[in-house]
Amino acid sequence: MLERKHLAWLVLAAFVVAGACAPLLAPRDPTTYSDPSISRNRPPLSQLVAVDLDDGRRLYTDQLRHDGDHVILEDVERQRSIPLDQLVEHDAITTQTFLLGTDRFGRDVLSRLLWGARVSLLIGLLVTLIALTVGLPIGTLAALGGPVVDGVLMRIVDVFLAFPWIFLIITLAAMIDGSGLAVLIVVLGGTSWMAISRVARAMIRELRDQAFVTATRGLGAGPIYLAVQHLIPHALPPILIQAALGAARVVLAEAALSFIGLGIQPPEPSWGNMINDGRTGLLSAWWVAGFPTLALIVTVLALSEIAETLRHRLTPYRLEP
Amino acid sequence: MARFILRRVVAAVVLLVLVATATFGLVQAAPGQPIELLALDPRVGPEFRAELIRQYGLDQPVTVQWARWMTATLRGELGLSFSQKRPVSELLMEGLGGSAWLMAGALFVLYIVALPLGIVAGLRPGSRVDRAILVFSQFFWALPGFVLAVVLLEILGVRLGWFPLGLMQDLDAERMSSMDRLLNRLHHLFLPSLVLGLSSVGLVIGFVRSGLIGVLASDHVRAARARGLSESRVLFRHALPNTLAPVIQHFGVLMPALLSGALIIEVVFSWPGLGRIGYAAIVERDIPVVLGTTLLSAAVVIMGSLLADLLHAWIDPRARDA
Repeated sequence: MLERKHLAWLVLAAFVVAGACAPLLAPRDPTTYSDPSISRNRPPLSQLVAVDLDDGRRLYTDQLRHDGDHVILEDVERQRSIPLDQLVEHDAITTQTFLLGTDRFGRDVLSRLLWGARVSLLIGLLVTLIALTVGLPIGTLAALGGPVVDGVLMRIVDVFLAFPWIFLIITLAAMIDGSGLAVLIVVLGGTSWMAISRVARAMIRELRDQAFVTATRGLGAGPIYLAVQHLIPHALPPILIQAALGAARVVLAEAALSFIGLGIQPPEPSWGNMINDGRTGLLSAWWVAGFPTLALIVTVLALSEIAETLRHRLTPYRLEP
Repeated sequence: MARFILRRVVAAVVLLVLVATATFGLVQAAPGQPIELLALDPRVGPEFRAELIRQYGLDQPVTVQWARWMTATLRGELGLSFSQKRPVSELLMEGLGGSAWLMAGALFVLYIVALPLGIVAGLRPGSRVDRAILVFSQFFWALPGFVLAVVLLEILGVRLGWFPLGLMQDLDAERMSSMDRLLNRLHHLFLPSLVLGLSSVGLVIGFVRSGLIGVLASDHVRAARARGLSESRVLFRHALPNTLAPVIQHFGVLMPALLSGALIIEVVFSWPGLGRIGYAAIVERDIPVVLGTTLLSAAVVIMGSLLADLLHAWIDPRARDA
């Protein structure tokens, strides 16, 4: 029987594979659109006949008819006649299936979803790594560095926490004066390490007075050895739980920023800007915004389920009845 | 109590100064200083530019500039908006009013939904009702607020026409009677505050639920039961006050997330609040306004959490020692 925690890991693993292999898995290019007048807003599982021309263009049609040395594309709005010698040599006429439908530019939703998974998960992963590499040393230093260092570092944390994250992000984005993946990762990373540093500080303060730490110190261990070998490993469980929850928050934050146009810029796909794309035809073409929303919800639920499993696995003595 | 208030207020003021200093640091680092922009203008000679630099004290040491900037900020002088040619403080005051309406509506929705559900879940942990409430709160935690916003807007606003599509009031609201104007405002307020309130519902439900479970397992509740008090008296006189007092303090923790969520909601509903102003400013690269909204939003967070702490300490004396 598949348990919820296994399902969460499976789902996350599937998304990671999907994102990592997006260039291989995506059936079509996520940004180019061809012949949108025919292929736009097609529902999931639609099939269209594709005609590839030798100048690189691809035309779509519902019905195709041969007529001597021409092919005739017959659609409701118009009829187009293409001479056969303009077609590519092999497999010029194919049937294309759009598993998750197309958006209003005729772009393939499945391909955009896969490339969007790449963006979302890359940001989630890298931002969480930045948060850990910034937050963990700061928390450790605050716990071990004496009252002055502690006071200074914790005031810095307070200052960062006083800004609502989205205001801090738009300010930093304005300062850096640019957009794109790298800026987004740096800015999100710079605003999401505080929770981790607080948890690390609290845990290490609790640990540093325990008997085994005093004993190790008595044997001559220096503070760095102590922190790396004893304190941080013991403090890791709650930090990892925090990191998993933080990753969920980051995925949502990226989507929200891209949705309002401050994150990943179109035409590059991200789940957030896909949802924005689907806004105009929300009820008639539900699949454009619906699938990225579903992907977002499933990712967030999987990450929080993983945090919950970690909590149970790593701190069994704190199990609730 | 007096000592607690003093200590807490001093801490808040120190934090405010630090936050303002951080913002000052950002001003210094900001690209596109007005003076540099002037240098691009061929009609502005180098002598005039030097005169301006001297006039605005830009040749002074950073510490002097910092002191001048702080005093100006305290007076509410935050500079001029690049794009609107109006004082930033004027813009911010308008936005603060809109944000206050939205925040009040969202908090109303949040607590009227979350408190009863959290209490019901905490009374019977593990029961079917508890699990249903957990699913409900997890759903609203994972569902992005902006998705709920566009779905409700599309169905209830565009398709059915039950709610306005944005803004704080109808365009002719100025000509309405004050009662109609209030009703109009509430009509506009409903959807945005519903969405913003629901987006934090899961956090509050979880907080109330685990708080109540802890309180119900504590000794004084067991003692109250041992004295033969009815279950409803145990709940309403002993358990709930101890559960709900920390909720006030928890509000201070929620504030930053609520304000962040409000920015997105304000953008979707064209709600003229602080967030919408900040968003419009970033789109137009209007740095003084961006910095002003950021500083003000942090000040609101600090004041909100100060207020929450003081209220909590007033209600629960044990909180004064913390």
